[in-house]
Amino acid sequence: MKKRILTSQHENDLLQEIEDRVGAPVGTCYQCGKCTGGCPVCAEQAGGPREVIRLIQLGCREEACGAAAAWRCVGCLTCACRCPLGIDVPRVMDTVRQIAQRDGVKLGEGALKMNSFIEAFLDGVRDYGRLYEPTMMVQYNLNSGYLVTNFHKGVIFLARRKLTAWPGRVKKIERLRRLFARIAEEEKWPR
Amino acid sequence: MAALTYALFPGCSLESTAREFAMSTEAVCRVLDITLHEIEDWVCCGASAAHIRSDLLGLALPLVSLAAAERQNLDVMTCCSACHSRLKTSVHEFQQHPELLAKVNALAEEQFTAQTRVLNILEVLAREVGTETLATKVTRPLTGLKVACYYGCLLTRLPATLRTDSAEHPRMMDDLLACAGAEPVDWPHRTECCGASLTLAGRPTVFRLVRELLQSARENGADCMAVGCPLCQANLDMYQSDAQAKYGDVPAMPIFYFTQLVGLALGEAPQALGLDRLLVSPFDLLADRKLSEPVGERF
Repeated sequence: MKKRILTSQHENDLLQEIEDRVGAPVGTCYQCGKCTGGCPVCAEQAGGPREVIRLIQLGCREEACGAAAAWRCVGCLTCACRCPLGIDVPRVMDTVRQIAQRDGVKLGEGALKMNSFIEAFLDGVRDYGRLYEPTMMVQYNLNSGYLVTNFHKGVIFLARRKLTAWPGRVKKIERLRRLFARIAEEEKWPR
Repeated sequence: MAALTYALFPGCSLESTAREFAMSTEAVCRVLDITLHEIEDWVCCGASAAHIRSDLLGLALPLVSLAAAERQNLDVMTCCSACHSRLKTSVHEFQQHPELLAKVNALAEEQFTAQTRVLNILEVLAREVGTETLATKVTRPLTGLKVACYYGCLLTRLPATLRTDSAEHPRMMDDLLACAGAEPVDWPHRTECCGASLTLAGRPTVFRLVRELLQSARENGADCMAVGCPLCQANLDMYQSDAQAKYGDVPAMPIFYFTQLVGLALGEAPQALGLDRLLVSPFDLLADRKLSEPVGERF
């Protein structure tokens, strides 16, 4: 039987699913805080990866999967290097975000912005096979409603010839679309 | 030195905002007789987005390009450190979990065997070519150039997977640029994060991190920074003026790709290395160190 500390008494489906998918003993985290101490992106708010892990241990599905700290994770892997239990913490953050999508968890403003970025990015990859950064930025602005983000940077980029011609579609685009469709069906992506 | 040949995975950024990373890589490899064959019809590795949406997609996108490289029967060379992390992590996952490899192969209609070696351009220059060999080719030593080597996140992490260098105290880029004649400075932020993809969805965080990095580099004596990641370069270069406007105490310095500095030391022309594409102009600094003619602002 697995040893767990500080977990709630009731059945914790969320913890079980995350431990199975990540392959790490998330339930044994004893909140040392090294992950959060080294986290570069969680200074703007309370919490951090430690809080997300605690919410998972407590079985708080909505709070863990919608946590601003999880949605801000950029995958820098600092915490993964420093966790004394060897937990791949960014993978935990990815997993709660995947569960949030699948289960339709309500997201706050920061999480919605990150989600807009992910969708703008992946729509570009699915439709063209490569990411063309200028169109991705425009798509992000449309998705998020922040219409003029970085508009002035585009002007500077043009002047420095950083914006090159659109590279076009890859030849295997149909195969790539089938790949996206198969994964979306298997994982029950929304929309 | 035996002739080196690689299948090149350029990655999406090198086709647009990081064009100068591609130009300087091509120039350096040409001088060092490294042959590059671009991977046939490569696709985006999905870095910074695919793995958040789906574990399978995060593995499948690299697999499609890796399978093409395997058909070319060559080791893979990456430039962007985020692409490098995704490609190498995928190979590692597939080697650990053959059943996962079979599943993703079926989804992607491929027959990848996960035997491909994936090397970053930094490893190719520092290890495969070697700093001793490189030093013999230097014709324009970067004397007096004090550079903060910035590894960021994904050149070294996770160390068990990437096996590049120490995750907390890497030296590879410092050693490389030292053999090119530069003076790498000791500074504590070399593996800190720049804010990465929060460049769109969380810019205040990026401004704060850019400020911390630039201040640390300057406090430790650097007059420029060297990077190996298009996102690090974009955040530090593009948002430098924003961080200065917001905080008022952010030092200005050019942000080079390390390949640009190596190319300069090998005698390549600044234009061939795309130095004129950097937003924070490096030409005053380079002219001061007698490494380039002064070039007027283009606009």
